[in-house]
Amino acid sequence: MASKMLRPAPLFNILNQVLLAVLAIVCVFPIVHVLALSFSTSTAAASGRVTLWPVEFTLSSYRFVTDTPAFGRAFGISVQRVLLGMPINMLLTVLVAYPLAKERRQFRARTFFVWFFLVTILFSGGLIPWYMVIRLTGLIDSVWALILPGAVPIFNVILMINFFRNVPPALEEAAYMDGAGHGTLLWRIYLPLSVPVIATVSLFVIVGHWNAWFDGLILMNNPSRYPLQSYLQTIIINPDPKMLTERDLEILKVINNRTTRAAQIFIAMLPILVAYPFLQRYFTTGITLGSVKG
Amino acid sequence: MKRAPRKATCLAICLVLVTLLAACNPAGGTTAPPTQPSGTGRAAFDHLTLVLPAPYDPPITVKSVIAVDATVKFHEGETIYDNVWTRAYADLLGIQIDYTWVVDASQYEQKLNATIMSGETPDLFHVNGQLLKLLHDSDLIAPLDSVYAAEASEATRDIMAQDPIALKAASIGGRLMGIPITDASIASAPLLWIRQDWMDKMDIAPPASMADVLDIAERFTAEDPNGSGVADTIGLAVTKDLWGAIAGLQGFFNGYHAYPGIWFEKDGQLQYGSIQPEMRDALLALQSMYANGQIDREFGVKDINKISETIATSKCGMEYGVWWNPYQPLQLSQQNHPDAFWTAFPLPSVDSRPARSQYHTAVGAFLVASQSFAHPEALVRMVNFWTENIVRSEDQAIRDTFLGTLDAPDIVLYKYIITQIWEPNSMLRGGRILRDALARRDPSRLNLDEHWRYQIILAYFDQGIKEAWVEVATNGEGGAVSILEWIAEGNGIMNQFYGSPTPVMGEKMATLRTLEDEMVTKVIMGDPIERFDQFVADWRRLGGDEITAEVNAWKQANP
Repeated sequence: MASKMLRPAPLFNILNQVLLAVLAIVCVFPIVHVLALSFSTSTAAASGRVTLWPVEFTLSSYRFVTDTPAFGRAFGISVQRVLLGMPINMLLTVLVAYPLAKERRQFRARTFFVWFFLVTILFSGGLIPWYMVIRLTGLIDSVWALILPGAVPIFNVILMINFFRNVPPALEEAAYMDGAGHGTLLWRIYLPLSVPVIATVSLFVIVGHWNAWFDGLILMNNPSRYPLQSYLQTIIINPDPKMLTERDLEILKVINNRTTRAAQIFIAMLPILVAYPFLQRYFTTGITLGSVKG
Repeated sequence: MKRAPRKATCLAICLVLVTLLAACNPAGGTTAPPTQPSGTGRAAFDHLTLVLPAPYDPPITVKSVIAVDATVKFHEGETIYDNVWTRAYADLLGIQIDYTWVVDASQYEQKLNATIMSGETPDLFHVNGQLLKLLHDSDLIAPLDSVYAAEASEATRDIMAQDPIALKAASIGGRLMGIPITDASIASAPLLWIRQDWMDKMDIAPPASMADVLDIAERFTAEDPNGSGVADTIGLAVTKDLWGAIAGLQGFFNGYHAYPGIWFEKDGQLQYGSIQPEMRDALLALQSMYANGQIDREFGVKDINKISETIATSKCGMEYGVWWNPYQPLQLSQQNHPDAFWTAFPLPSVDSRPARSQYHTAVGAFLVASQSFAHPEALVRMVNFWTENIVRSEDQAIRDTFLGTLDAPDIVLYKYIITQIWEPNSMLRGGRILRDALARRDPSRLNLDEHWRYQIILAYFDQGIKEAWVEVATNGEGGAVSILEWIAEGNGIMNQFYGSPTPVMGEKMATLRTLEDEMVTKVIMGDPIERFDQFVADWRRLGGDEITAEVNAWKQANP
């Protein structure tokens, strides 16, 4: 009897699978479409004949992309941003999360600091103060302007705090007994036990840095320093049709050139597509917002 | 077991160090432009005959900002900081242009706002009407009356005079606050574009009235003009934006003597076009076209891209749009169907009164000088340099040097500067001279640009080069430009409000425009026409009446 009740209802199972399959198709369809566009000729794309399979297969879009120095340069800047931003973000996140994960009796000012950091999630200074701070600190136009202002992502800190809290206190006490200080405790006990959350937060950070575009547009004074997504944004925008004049014909031509845009979008997607599967398996254990883990 | 992780850590640290070093190298980290305009000196321009003032001595440095879009290209080794224009300014005028930043055109306004708010107003820059007013009210820009009176050259004055409202639009409270960026206003007047090859095939006469337009839309929908064997065509292309330069609806409404979105004089007062009773019949006509499948059932989500696709695949043969539509997107249909040819027609009217095309002033942007800048006359000198020497130049060497050459057509040199002021009359005048030359087959009096167009048009007729239809449809005999000339002779209606946005307008107009677009879309898609009456009442109540009062007060002050 009991075993019968535990067996999942078939109807639920079927519905679940159908729903998930539909969701998966909805997510994958645009990617496949963009891929198909990038391998098609521009006339085929402009006449809307491309859906899921390349029409009049060609590599000319990719040739165009490799011949566009701006694309390669922007790609390089994005890579640089991730390689610099990820270690800095992770280091600071761990260093902030560790003390805040302690009990109040161990760290008196804990509540104050938790609120101190939480306020930045709830309230933002707005665009102009943000810009002014970055300008007055002299970061404008350097890659650091893209990294330092967001170097302590509070949401990630919270994830990390919650994970650290679940480390059994007995381990900590045992380490103390053996003469470990906070440094040893953090590096030798906490971090090795926190691989899932580190993988998860790293993924968030990588994706966040890779996909950010707005700060690049505002903080870089020259398009040649744009990271990849800012660069893509400039070639993908649609101009306001009410304001179009004959001086904008060149822009209209670019807009109609969908195949090269598709190729650039696809190349921009690749690094994340590649990184995701390796880090994704830590997700279920990595994200625990206050729940008890088995 | 212990070794492996350590190796990985070392590797990671090395990687970080390498990128750190890379990030610190001067090219990546400094704010100064990578290369200062070096200049080969005045000698580089000696072979050109230029009209120049005495250069600043010692040279002055001007901080400016500029928008460039993704299509702007440079010659090998040149940048926005170092190109023929920065060298010319430096060597010929003694003006070192220092672009504090360069941004994509789509983000220009936002970045400019951030820069000005943080107290870093550039010396000379480019603003829209709204910002002109704001900067004037905050005392951040200098009045230019005296420097304009003292320095503006003959050519500059002439170009400004060609558009009677240009300088008025740039003046606030009687003081000239900016140099208007002019162009041909008539270029925004809508025309009716129809596939000529379909009309010929189906034996349709040129439309003389709105009834003819509706009839053509019906036949284009029902009679399979593209010969595909299936009913896949629509009668009239409409975008979701409703009022664009491509597949917009202004021309259709103008046929019913309605002028949506503009202010025009009626009973001695300026009135807003979209709330006038003439809108009703046009909306009802569109509604029935939609119901009969002559307008795309999904037009509410079709942007220019999608409409271009419809046009490219020959699924549509009629649209209201401006004179340059053949260049983009109409030429797409010829690329796919070699015989495709679109002809422009003057707007047909619903009754015996001729329809008037609505248009608006081309002056939407202004060049301004910061209050704290010591040399506001440098702005006028830069404008003079452009108007005197380049924009009307007949000298091939000058055009090659400052505008671009034919062997590198995608490198458009004038995109590197902010003083892109165009002559308002040149399009119509050039078109007239060109048509005259075509009629007589005598290109002797043509300038370079006209001569180029002349050869393309002849290539269509003499050599059967079908791609050349674009030039025939725009600049040829009876083409779009000749219709614009007719419109300019009193058959158009210009937006009579061209000042910077009034207070309530700045606050509420965007909301009211959204309300209006929603109403039009909904009524076309079948909502009862009473929705229009409701909209008129809402519009007046939600600030429209106040805006009308403001606009008329502005009119009183700027007769």
